[in-house]
Amino acid sequence: MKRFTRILALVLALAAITAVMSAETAYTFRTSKEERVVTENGEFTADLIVDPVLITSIGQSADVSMLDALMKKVGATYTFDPIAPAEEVAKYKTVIIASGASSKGLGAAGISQEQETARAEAIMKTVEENEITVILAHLGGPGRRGALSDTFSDMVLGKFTDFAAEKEIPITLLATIADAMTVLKDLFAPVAQ
Amino acid sequence: MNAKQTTRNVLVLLIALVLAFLAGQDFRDMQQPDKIYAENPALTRVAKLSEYNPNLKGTAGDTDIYVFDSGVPGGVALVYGGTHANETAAVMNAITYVENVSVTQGKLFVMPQANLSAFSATLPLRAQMGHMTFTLADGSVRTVRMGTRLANPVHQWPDPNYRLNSSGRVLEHGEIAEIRNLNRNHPGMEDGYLVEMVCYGIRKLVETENVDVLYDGHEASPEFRAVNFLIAHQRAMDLGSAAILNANLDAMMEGDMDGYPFKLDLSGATSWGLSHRALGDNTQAMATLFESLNPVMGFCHEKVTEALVKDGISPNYVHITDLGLLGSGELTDAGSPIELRAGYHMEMSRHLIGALGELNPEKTLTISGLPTFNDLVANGFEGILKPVK
Ligand SMILES: [Zn+2]
Repeated sequence: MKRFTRILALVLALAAITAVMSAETAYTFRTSKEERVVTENGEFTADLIVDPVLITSIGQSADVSMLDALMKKVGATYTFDPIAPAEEVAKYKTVIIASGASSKGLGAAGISQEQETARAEAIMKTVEENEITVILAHLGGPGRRGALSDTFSDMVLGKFTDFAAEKEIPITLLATIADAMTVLKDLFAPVAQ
Repeated sequence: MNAKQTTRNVLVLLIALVLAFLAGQDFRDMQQPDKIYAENPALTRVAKLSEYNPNLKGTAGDTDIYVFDSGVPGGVALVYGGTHANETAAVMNAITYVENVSVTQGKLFVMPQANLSAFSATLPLRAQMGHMTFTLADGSVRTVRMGTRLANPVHQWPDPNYRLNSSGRVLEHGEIAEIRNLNRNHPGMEDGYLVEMVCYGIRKLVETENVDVLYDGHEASPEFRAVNFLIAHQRAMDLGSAAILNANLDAMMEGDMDGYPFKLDLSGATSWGLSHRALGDNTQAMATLFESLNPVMGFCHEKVTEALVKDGISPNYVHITDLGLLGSGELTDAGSPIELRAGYHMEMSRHLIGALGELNPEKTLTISGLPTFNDLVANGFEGILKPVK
């Protein structure tokens, strides 16, 4: 597929057990008490990650900060810039995007929803043109899949699981945020053999 | 006036006096300070807020601050509850610190009753009980007052019809009573309304003692979007993220695979007068606030009995949850007991303190002695609180 040559989706679905029980959403949860980490449509391996790595946000929710904490914890090497413009993104080989919209976060960054949308579109174009590997990270579970959050998520990868399945992009789902540790460690800070 | 009339009038007055006397006992009880166990050997001293704003001396706002100073340079934290005196889990968390904590590096300040005046009254017309009691193993009973959201009008009244307060928030129309709300008047005034002076005292405490991280404990209604959220000032986002992550990793280590339902959010730019905004903007401290789930804070709970406050079991809210009407704050038959709520506060604040040193090693604040979350939930406050003489 020409369009997204090397797109990966790593969805950090922070689905607390209450959310798992929730009947509100049509989405069927893949993770359970027994299966805490579920990967569909293929596999994630460290060789998919090419340095340098950038972490940015689309939507400016607090999730990007949680992702930063996770990456710090696993000892990954990366640049953290939640409001990186497309020209900046072009300098990287791998970009992790924490998606999730927050009017507070946008306000604090002094960015309007329109500006953020334009930035997201520019980033999409850049990653396509430069064949940058994209990892989409969604934290926060269904509580964060409101109308505003979905607008942004849709732009990047549509509804995560359906899109991933349709396009055969690997997707990893996690029961809680702590489960992300091992997955990220394997990808970004593999222990030397 | 004939003798018969006089007798009748006197009798009516006497009956009224007896009723007033009996009812007055309840009001009087609420004026009695809570007995807080202060025999923790790690306790350095009990300070008064008036040390930081002398205008509070002799007022109903001069609350106690428990100081744990290791004498070893390191980080400094302020953990407090009772900003809203009816948000009991945050008060119980602070009391748990006072009774159990010990500090081997850095300095810790604990303030269980930030708005002390608010502990001396309950909300009018809510039929709310004024005390929580815990019967301990030795048969003794610990009593903790459960007050209200605002300072007692006996101590601060009348509310001005218009007030542009120190935070830039305008208190007018339906918001005039908020001049008695501690969490609307930060950073406060040295010489102003009582609550403004309390706010100023806290600000000065934070500044004078070089507090690195402050934790303001609250409770929220099931309807509130930010239940179990840590609200962090922009300078505290890294700290908050690390703390939430560490809390969840810790839970996993202890075999609690569901982890904690903690989420992070940024302090709103227009949250004027709230601690996470106003103290974050006006002091060097990284300001945070956490909300646990207490059905008593909502609009649909049953009568506010001691059982409702302690067990957090509310059939009304279970029904509302089952109808799928709650976006957050779902309640099951298991309720939201005080030990669980206070335990969340304890884990959240404990890990903020831990993250402080993790992110800035020279700011390490090492604490120990607190019960574990599982201990607290399993044994209840009946098994955790210490008897006071
Ligand atoms: Zn509150």
